[in-house]
Amino acid sequence: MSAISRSTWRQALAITGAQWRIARNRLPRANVFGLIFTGFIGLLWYGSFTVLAILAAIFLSDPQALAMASKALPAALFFAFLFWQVLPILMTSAGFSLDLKRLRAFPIPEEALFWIESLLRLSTGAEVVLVLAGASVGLWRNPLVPWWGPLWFLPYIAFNLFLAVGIRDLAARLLLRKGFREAFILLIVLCTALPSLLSSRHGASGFGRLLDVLPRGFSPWAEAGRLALGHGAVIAAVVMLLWAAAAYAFGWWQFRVSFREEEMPVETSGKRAGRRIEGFYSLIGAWLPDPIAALVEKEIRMLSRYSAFRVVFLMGFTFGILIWFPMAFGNNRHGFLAENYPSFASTYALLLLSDILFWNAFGRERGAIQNYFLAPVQAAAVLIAKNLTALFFVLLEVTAIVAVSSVFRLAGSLRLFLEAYAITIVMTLYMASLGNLTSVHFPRAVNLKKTFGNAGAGRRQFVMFGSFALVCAPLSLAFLARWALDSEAAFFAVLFLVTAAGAALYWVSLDSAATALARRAEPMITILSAREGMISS
Amino acid sequence: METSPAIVVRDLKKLYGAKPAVDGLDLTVARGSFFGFLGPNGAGKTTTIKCLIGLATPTSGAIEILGLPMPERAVEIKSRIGVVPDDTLLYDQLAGHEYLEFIGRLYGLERATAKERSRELLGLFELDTTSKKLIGEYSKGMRKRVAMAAALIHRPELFLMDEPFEGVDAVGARLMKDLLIEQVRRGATVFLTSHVLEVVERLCDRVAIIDDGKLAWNAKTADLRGASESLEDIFVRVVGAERSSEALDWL
Repeated sequence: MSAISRSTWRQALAITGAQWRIARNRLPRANVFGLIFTGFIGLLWYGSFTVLAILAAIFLSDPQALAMASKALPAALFFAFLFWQVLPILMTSAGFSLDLKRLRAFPIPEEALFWIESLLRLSTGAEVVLVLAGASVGLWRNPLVPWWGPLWFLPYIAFNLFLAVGIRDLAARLLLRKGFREAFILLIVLCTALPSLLSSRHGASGFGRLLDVLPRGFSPWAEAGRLALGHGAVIAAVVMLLWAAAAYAFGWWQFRVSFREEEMPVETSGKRAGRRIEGFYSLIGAWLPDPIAALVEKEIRMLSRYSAFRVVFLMGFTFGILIWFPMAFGNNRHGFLAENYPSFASTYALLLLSDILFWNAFGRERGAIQNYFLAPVQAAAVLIAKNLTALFFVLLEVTAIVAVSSVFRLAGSLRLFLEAYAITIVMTLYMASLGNLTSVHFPRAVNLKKTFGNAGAGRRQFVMFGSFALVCAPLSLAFLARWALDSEAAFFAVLFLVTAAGAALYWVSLDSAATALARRAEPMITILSAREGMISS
Repeated sequence: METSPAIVVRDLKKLYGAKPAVDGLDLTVARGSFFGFLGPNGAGKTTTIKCLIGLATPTSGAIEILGLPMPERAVEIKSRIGVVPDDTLLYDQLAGHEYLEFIGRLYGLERATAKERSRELLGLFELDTTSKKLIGEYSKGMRKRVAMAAALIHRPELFLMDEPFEGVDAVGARLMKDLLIEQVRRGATVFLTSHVLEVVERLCDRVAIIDDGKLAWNAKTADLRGASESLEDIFVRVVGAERSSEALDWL
C-alpha cells in the first residue's frame, strides 16, 4: 500500500482530469443527435436497472421473503457474476480501460494504474452495483437482517472488479494471437451454451435445480449471499475474503503481464499479404467495375485482417447456432423457433456483425477516410461498395450456419436454408439503408488494435436488440401472413413486397447518405482522426 | 497547352468558430513551377492545402485549380492532382502493393496497369523487398515513401504536398526531390510546405510565406541569390519569431 503515496493519487487524479477534459473538448464537435440518442438509450437502460433495484429493495425488505431470498440471492449474484465477467467477452465490449502503451512512458507506479484500471471495470458492471445498492437498502430495512449483512456485497464487488481486470487482460492478449483466438472463442461459446443445452434436455426443472445448487458450496456468490442475509459464520467471511484476495492476485498478475508486454504491431505476420488467399479478396470484385471493385476488394482485405471482425465473425455462427438451438428444440420441436431455426441463427449472426458492417462502417477507416475525398470517386460508389462487402460477409456467415447445421444434422431442410438466405438478404437491405445514414451522420473512431469496444456489454446488446426489433418489424409481416393464411405463397408474396419496399428505402437513404458524405468531409475526417486519451476503448 | 495558372486563390477565408485559420489569402501559382509555401506552426499552411484539395470547405473566397473552379468541378480536379497530406491517409492493414493498386484503380487506372505501376513504384522507392509487409508495420519514412508513390501513380499534373520529406532518410529524400524535379521538368507543378528552409530555397523557384492566415511575403527564389539575406533570415524577420528562453529562469 506504501506505493500509493500522495504523488500517486495526484497522478491518478491527473489521468482522470485529462480524460475528462478530452471528453469535454470533444463535446462541441460531437453530433447533437448522436448525443441525444446515446443519452436516451442510457436513460432507458439504466432506468430499467433502477426499477430492478427498487424491486429488489421492496422484495428484500419483507421479513417473510427471507426464506426465498436465501435461494434467490446466490442465484442473482451468480447471474451478476456472468453479466460482469462473461458477457463483455461474448459481446467484445468490455468498457473503458487505460491505454497502457502511452502511460508506460511516465513514472507512474504499476500498482496505482492497477487500482485505476480496477475502478474502470465498473464501466461493465455499473448495472450490477445499482441493483446491489437497491438490494442493500432492502436488507437494511429488513428487521431480521443484521446491519453488517449488506456490507458483504463490498468484497463481492471487489472480487468482481479484480477478476474483470484479469479476465479482460488475459482475453485481450489471447485474442491478439491467431489460433489461440479461435480456440478461446469456441471454448467461451461452449461454456456459455452448455447450461442452456443441459437445461433444454431437462426442461424447466433445470432452472429450479440451478436454484438449489447455487446457494451450496463455497462459491463467492453462495458465501456473499449467505453473509448478506446475516446467515454466515466466521468461516463464510474468511472464504469470501479469500475469494476477493485470489481475484486481486489474479487481476494484479494479468495486469502486470499486459503492462510489461511489448506492443504488438497491427498484425504480426506479413504472410497475410500472400497470394494464397488473393482469390478470396477478389471474389466479388472480379464481377464488378472499378472503382466499386477496388473498394470492395480493399474492404474485404481490411475486414479479413481486422482481429475484432474475425472474432465477431467466428462468434456469429458458433454463438448464433448454439444460443438458438436449446431455445428452439428445448420443449417443442415443432414450435415457431424450431421451424425457423436457420433464419433465427442467421439473423442473430447478422446482428453481431451489424456494428462493424452497418452502423459505423467508416469507424475503422480513421484518417484514411481522406482517400475517398481526395480520389475522383462518387460518394454513392463508396457506400455501395461497403454495402456489397457487408452482403458478402453476411452470406458467408449464413453459409457457415447452413454448413454446420447440415454437418451436425441440427435442423433444417433445403427450403429452410433458402429461406434463411432470403430473410438475411432482406434484413441486410434494411440494415444497409439505416446503416448508411448512421455511418455518415454519427461516425465513431474505432481503434483497430483493440478487440474490445467501450460500451458496456449489456447496453450494447440492448441497442442491438432494439435495432433487431426495428429491422424485423417489416419481415414479421411475412411470417404473420404465413401463420394467418397458412400459406407459403402468402409468405413469399409479402416477403416480395417487403423486399420491394426495402429496395425503395435503400435508394432513398443511399441518395441522402451520399449527399451528406460529400458535404461532411471535414467533420468526418476530424472525428475519425481524433486520437484517444489515456483511457481508451 | 493550357495557359491558366495551376492554382489561383482569391480572398480565401477559413474560420474555425470565430478564429480565422486563413484570413483573406490571395495566391497565384504558375504552371510548371516548383512553389514553396512556408509559415510558422499554426500559420494556416495545412488549412490552405486542405481547402485546395477539397478536404475543408472555405468560409469565403474562390479557388481555381488547373483552370477549374473548386469545389464545383471537384471530381475532375481530383483526377488531375496528386496529394501527400500526411500519413494518416494510409490503411495500416493493407500491404504497400495492395494500397498502391487500390489507389491507382480509384484514379481510374486499369487493374493490370495499376498493378504494374505499383510494382514499379515500390521498386523505385526501395519498398519492393518489404512489399508483403503491412503498412502498419512500416517505419515513418517508409510510410511517407508509400504515400508519395500513391501520389505519383496516376501521373498527375499538380502535386500538393504537406511536409513530404518529414521523417524520410537522406537517400529517400534525395530520391523524392529528384522525382519532383523531373516532374516539374515535364510540365507538372509542385506546391509544397516544408519547415526545412534550405530544401525549399534549393528546390523551389518561388516561395510564399503565410503568417496568421495572411500572405506575408511572396518572391522568386532567384531574387535571393546574391542578396544579403538568406531565406531563413527573411522568414524570421517576416514572422517576427525572436524569442528567448532566458525568461524561464527555472529552466
